[in-house]
Amino acid sequence: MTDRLLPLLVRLAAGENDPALIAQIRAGLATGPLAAAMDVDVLFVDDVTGDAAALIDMLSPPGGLLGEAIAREAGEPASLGEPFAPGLPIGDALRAEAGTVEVAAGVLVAVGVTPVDALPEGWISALLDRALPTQLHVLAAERVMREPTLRHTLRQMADVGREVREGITREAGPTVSLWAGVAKEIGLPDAEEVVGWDGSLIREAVVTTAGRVDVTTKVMDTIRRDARAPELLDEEPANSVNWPVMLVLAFAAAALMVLLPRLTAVVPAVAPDLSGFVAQPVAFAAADEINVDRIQYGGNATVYVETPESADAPLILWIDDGANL
Amino acid sequence: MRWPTPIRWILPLALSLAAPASALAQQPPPAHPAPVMPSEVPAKVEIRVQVIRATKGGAGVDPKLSSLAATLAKLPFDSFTLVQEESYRIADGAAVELPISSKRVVRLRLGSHNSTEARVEVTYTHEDADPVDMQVSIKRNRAFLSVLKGGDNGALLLKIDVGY
Repeated sequence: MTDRLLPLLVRLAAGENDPALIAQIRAGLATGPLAAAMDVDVLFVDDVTGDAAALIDMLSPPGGLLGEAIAREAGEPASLGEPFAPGLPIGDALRAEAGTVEVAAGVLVAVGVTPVDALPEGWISALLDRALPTQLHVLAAERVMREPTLRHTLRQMADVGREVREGITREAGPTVSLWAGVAKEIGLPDAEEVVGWDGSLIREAVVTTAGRVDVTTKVMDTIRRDARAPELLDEEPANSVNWPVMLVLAFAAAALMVLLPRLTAVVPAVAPDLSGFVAQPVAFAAADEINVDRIQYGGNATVYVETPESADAPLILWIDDGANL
Repeated sequence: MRWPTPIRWILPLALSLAAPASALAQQPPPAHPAPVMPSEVPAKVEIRVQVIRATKGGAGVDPKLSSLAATLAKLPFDSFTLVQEESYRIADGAAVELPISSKRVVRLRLGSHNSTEARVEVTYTHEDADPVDMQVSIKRNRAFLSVLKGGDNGALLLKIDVGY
C-alpha cells in the first residue's frame, strides 16, 4: 500500500494539485491499513501540503512507524520527531478540495498517539469553556498537568472571565442574567429547562471514572476553616445595654443591699419580751422536786399531803374544809 | 419620667435583693420567741389550772384527760371530767383568782421564781368554810395535784402546772 501511496503523496507534496491525484490518494488510504484509524473523508482538507508530508513521513520506510504499528496492531506510540518534507503544496490542494478542517490531532489521538501539536489552536480557551471533545479534553488536561506554564495561562484566562463577570455586575448590577438571552439566541425554548440535562450524569461519570469519591470531609474542612459561625443578629435596641458595665453594677448593687441592712440595723435596746414563752411539757413533780413550805387552814379543815412513793406518782394535797363543793 | 437605662435595670434588681433584708430589719419581734435556755429566767411564769370533777360511780375518764388516766386511776374515784381549764402568766408577787364553783375560789400567787424552782402560794376559800392556805416550792416545769373533797358527792381535783 505504501508503495503506491508514497509516489502519489510525493507528487501531492511537491505541489501537484490535481483532483485525480487526490482521489487516488484517498482511495489508497481508504483501502489501506490506515483506513481504520483515519477518516479519509476529512483528511487533506486543512493543510494539504502538510498532511501529505506527514503521511509521507509516516508511511516511508524506515520512518513508517505509525503504519507499521497499526499494521501489527501493536498500538505502540509512534514518534513524529522526523521533520516534514517542506515545500509540498499538498495541504493547499486538499484545502481547495474540502475546505479547512483540523483532523490531524483527532486522528493521532484516536490511534493512541499524543503529539505535542495534537491540540487545536486555542485549545486552552476551549478547555476552559469545556468545548473540547472528550478525547481532546483528556489530552489537554494531561498536558496542562504536565506544564506549569499552561496552568498559569489557564488561571489567567479564568481570571479574565471572573473579571469580566465582575465588571458586568458592577455595571449592570447583581441581578443581571445573561443566560436567558444566551438561551434564546441558541434556540432553547425554555431557559430554565435544558432538554437532556441530567445532573446525575456528572455524578455517574465521576463514579465511573474514579469510583466512589467522598469529598465532603475535605470540602467541609476547608469551609469551616475559613467560615465564620452564623450568628443570629437581632436588631440592636435603642436602649442597648453594656453588659460588662451592667454586670459590675449589678454585683455592686447586690453587695450594697446585703451589707446596708447590717450596717444600719438597729439593735434592740431592750431584752426580748418573754411573756409569750411556751413552757416545756409539764410533768408531775417527783418527791424531791416539790416541797410544801407551809400550810394554814381552819379548825374544821383537814389537810393531808400524800407523798408519792414512786417517781411517776404525783404529790397530792388532800384538802377537806368541811364545805360542800 | 424615663429612668436612665442603668437605673431601669438596677433598680428592680436592687429592690428584689433588698426586700428580704429590709423586711428582716423592720419586721416586729416574733409572736413566739425561740425557747430560752434553762439557765435563762423569764419574767413571768405560766400557771395552768385544770379543774377536774371526780365522782364515785360511773365510769370513764374524760378524753381530754387521757394523758392523766394512769394517775387518775390510782385515786379513789370512778369517773373524771374536765370542767374548767385556765392558764395565767404572772410575774413574781402577782396573783390570780379562779372561781371553781358557786362558793369556792382558788387564789394563785407567784411568790418568786428562779432558774430552778418557783414558789407558789395557793389559797382555797369557801363562803362556808375557813380558807386553806399553803405555799409550795416546785421545780420549774412541774405540776402537783390538789384534791378538794366534797363529802360523798365526790371531789374537785386541781392540777396545777408551773411552767417557765
